Amino acid sequence: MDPIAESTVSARTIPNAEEASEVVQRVRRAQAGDLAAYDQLVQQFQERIYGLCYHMTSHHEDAHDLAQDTFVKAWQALKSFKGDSSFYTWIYRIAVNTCLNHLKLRRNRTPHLSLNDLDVQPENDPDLVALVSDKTPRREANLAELQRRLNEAILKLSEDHRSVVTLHDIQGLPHDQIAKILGVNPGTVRSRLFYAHQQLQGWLADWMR
Amino acid sequence: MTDDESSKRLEQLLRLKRHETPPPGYFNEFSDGVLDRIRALESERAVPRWRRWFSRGPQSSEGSAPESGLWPMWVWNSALGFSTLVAMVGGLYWALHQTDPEGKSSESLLQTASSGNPSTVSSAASTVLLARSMPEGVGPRSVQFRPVTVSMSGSSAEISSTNPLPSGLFQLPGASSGGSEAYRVRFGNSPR
Repeated sequence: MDPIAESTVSARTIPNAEEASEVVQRVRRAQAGDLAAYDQLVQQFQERIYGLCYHMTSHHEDAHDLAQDTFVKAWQALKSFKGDSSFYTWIYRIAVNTCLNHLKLRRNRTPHLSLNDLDVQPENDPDLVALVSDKTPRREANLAELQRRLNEAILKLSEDHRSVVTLHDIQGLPHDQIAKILGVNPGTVRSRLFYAHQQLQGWLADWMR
Repeated sequence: MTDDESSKRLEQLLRLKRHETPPPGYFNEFSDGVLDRIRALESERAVPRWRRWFSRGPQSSEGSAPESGLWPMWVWNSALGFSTLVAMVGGLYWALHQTDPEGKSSESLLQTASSGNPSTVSSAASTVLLARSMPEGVGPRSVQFRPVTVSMSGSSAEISSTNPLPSGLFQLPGASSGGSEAYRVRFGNSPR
């Protein structure tokens, strides 16, 4: 990912300094039992956590339940949060573990896609113009097909590989943050990304030309 | 296509995933759902464990249980009371309708036993049950049931009977085994 794009996405995902200090205050109040403060934390992180769960499962309803489970678990464990890592890293870790447990339980089931609509205006996104405009005039159908193929390919990845692709390529987190969330070293993150990309390139060969 | 180009192309493809978003307004009530679940958990935690156990109804994965997943308390209390009553009546019926090997029903033994003194009814019923649990060879055949008298005085109790003691089963001090002499057994702190 080019540095500019990465910094833009990361800025959207990782709280900045001001936001981080606000989070700390809210966490302290929530730890004292203030449910209103926790409500603010939920609202602050709900889209990111939902997004993580959605991209890990490619299933809207499962993602909804998993994101809610994450916040409920986080509330129950909030007293044990010492602040060694940031709240954002901590809650992401809970979300990843919740998703991985869910995927383990569902491992023997045939994956079923329940995708959200593409909220996309290809004209406004140069990447998408490059992807679909030169393929066919039936752009919408083409995009839907690409979305389905992309999700199927991601679901074929192992859970470890899917986690890093979701966190890095889709959610835009830097390697060191992903390493903290997954509890591995940054080298392992890079290595997992490399192998995941190789597999995806093979499965999406039609779209790589 | 070089590795670098291929990698960039893949990143472009994966970036499409960022445009997959839930319907507009989806997050408006998301946090309310989380808070409702937390409040439900907190209020459940405030209820004592034993009461939670009784108030938790059968939950099916199809969601056929009531919406809250709980049956009303009175349903479970009534069911528990009814089950206890059925067990007690059933147990009494079973005890009264057992037939001994000679064909005498427990009921007739009980009538015989209780003919003298109404206070011996319960002890006679106990005797019938005890006789059924005796080992083979010392079974009810050799036992002639006579009333057992239990008298209570302060913190002491006295049991007296003229029922014979089956030999080898147990030996009470001062009672001859297999005989039919009257014997008394005293419990408690009363002076002899």
